[in-house]
Amino acid sequence: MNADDTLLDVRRLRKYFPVRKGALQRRVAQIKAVDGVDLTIQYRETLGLVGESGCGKTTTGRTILRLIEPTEGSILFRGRTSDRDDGEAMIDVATATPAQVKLLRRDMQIIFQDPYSSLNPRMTIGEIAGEPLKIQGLMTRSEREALVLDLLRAVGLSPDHARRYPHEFSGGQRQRIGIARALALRPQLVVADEPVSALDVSIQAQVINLLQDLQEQFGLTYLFIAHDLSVVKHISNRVAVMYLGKIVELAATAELFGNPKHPYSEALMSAVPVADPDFKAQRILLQGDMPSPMNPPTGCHFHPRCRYAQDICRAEAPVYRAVGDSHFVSCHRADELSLRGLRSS
Amino acid sequence: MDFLRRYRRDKVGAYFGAILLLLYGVALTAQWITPADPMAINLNEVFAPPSWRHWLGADQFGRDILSRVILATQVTVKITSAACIFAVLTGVTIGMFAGYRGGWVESAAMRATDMLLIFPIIMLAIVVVVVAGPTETGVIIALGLAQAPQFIRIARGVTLSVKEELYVEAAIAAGAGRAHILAHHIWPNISTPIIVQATLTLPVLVLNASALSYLGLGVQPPTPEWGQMLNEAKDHLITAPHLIVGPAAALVVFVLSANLVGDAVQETLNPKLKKQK
Amino acid sequence: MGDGAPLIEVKGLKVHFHTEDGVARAVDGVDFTIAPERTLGVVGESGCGKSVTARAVMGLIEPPGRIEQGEILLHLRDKVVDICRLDPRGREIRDIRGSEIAMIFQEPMTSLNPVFRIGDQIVEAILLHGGMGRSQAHERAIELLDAVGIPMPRQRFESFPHQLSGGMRQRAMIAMAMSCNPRLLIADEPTTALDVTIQAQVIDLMNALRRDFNTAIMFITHDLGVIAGMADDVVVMYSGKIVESAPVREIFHNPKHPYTQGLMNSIPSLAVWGARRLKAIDGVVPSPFAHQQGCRFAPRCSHAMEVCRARSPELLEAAPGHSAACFLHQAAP
Repeated sequence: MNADDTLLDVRRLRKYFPVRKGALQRRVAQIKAVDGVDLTIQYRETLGLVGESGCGKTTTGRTILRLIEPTEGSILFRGRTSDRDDGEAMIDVATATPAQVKLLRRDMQIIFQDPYSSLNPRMTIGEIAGEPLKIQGLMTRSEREALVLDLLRAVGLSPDHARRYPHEFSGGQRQRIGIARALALRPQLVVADEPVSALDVSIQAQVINLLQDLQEQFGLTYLFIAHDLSVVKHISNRVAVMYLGKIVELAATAELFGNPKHPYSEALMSAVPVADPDFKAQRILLQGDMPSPMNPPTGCHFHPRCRYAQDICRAEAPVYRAVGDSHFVSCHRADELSLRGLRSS
Repeated sequence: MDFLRRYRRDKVGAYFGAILLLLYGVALTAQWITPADPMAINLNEVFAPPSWRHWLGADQFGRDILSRVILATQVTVKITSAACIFAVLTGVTIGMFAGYRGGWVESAAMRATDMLLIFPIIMLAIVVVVVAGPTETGVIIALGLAQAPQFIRIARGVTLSVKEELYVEAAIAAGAGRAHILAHHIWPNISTPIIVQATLTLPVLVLNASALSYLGLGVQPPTPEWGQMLNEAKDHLITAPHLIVGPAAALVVFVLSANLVGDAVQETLNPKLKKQK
Repeated sequence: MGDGAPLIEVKGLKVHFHTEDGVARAVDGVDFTIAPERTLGVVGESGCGKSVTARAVMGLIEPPGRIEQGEILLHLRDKVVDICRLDPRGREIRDIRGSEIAMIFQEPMTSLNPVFRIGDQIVEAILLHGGMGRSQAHERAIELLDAVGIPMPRQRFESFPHQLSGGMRQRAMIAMAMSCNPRLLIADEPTTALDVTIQAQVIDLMNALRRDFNTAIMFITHDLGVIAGMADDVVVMYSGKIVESAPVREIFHNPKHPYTQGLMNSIPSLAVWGARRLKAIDGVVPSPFAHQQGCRFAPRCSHAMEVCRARSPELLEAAPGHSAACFLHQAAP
């Protein structure tokens, strides 16, 4: 990996949410939503971030964009530090000043899961897609309007949609509008937070294809957050698996799915239903639920549900380490276990 | 306009809307349409019964009651409109900022609001009148303050729910500050429920204004006001019962119309409400 | 039941919703049967009418919805009842609900009462259909909680719904549904709100219960993967109609309707490596308010012919046991 190709370098990122109780709102506990995440994203790649609900993947995405204030850690991003800067220096998003953050927003955008709540029902499609430009004070009104029409075309909508309101559109079309808005500032990095999971099955493929086309056209880098392994496998160059606030495994897509090193990755893959009635899945049924991030288990967070757990797993937290070429895992037994991945056929 | 078209479908609302408009018309043109000078004392006509000269008769100073009722309409409309605007402005400003800012600012604002609600309107008025004097401004502030909590609560409630919407987060992700979000995303959602609440508040303000002046805390004589006229009429109920008719009728018609119009506006803006009934 | 009698026969069912915005033809002519102890998978996207069909079978259609046409025949031990003819609030349908047909939903929180302990709710369900005393019902409820894999059932009996995780709530819901040994269990997207590892647990559980209780299941989902692992027979719904119906292997290995084919090609699969681009179905899912001539799928169909835009195809047998509503598989009229 060439360090110069790194767009984003997240180190030891933590986000703890206080749990307050009583009349005095005293802090009685904390939810460790993100608990020491390290990851890097290269220019123009798609990093998939998978995990089950409550694992902290959405919080990770939001914290990287500083929509949520990080508790600890650094978020190094190659972005502009002033209006004239073309964005070659690494700047720490976590400690950037409000003025710097506003500039950084031109380079990092977000696509939301819910295509309904993400569009203001009282604004026209044109106003919605052009809002980021207006906020950043870029361009004149007529320039903005011209650019919005281009954007709508780029996401597969018609320019005469610009005067209409969100309620006239279906979920898939609304998601396209949200994508147009995210691209209005021509960002480098787009955090896509479950962008297709609220859509109908027959519409998901359209949006996935669109995201891939736009990536090529605009040279985008994606942090693609999803719970659907099939979608993540399809779209990502590399995949990170998250469990209870930590990344447990990160590797190139083919490597991760073909040769998983963490028991949780293995179980997750085996649980995905396959659309083939003759496919006799050798399911690894995980016992129980994910524990509460308020009170995570000792040692390895996954040990109560892990069928390979030993004494060391209960006592000591494993170190997140490299086990091969750009393959990272956090498991005591990664070297000795031979886990089942998906065969390429 | 869509709103007017749908509003007209409601027959009751439409008729009483017309009456309310008429009353506002009377208020705006009071100077020119009073048949006599409402302040002119004429000791020859004290307690004169209704006649062609004084349609509603004359009061204890021989003043023309109809003229006084018309002028009182103007006084009432002026005071209640100003109080309503005062309540909306303070309510929406405080509610929006409290809701958006959250934290201790919100807690403080809401506790202060609760304090306002604890005081009965009369107590509040006495305090304000003692501080500001029994002037029109004092009455307007007292009436407005008493209604402000409702607007604070609505504005805060809407703000709390809208600020969680993803489109607000999208605006923040694009670099938007507080002013942009309040103006472009939160205010447009607040306007409808505020208009509804304002129309529902109007009759309450009219009643409260009359109550204050009935107790002598409102507009001071000789400026006529319905409540104050009723108070005076009460003293002569046996000897001159006709004194009470004019102000009482005006008060009843105004409050009834305003109430029904308020309901109709609410149903027009929230069609769901009607279906549930 | 070796005589081959079906459990449920739905014939020409039409359910329309009369709203201010017009008439939504949520279900617009649907025929299918469910045999005893079989699992019928109903696949479709949101708004295709799959949930409304399920509600009609439960007798749960309420205004503004109305059953316009058709019958839903429930074969009881001694007679045949048309559920469409029953008063939706009457005694007869209430006796059927729970004891003959039970239902579980996507979000169990909305169907469990938050202010009662889950055990008591199951006990109530058992008592409602008679035949047991309270203490007996109490024991039975604990058995059921155990049967659906809730650990420490005696303690969990005392829990309130909000104290359970999503997966546990769905298990409790299933326990309640199974409490009277229904002959048909309608499951409306029961795993959609759950995480994959929990979904795998619930599917596993439902497959086990099907064997133990000999219950027929009508399993509604949009997830083809779940269908492949659960169903014996499959119907594919689109815009209020059934477009294809066949045994599960037939549907997956030999899909006939272009919509079914499109659906299968458009989902990324874990089993496929290296495909760069998905074959998406163009266009949007039609609104149920739209009144459209011809086949509802024609505007999105790459095989659409002139006849498809003019007339609506009927669901006819295209191969033994395999029906499709598509002119591609029917002799030219």
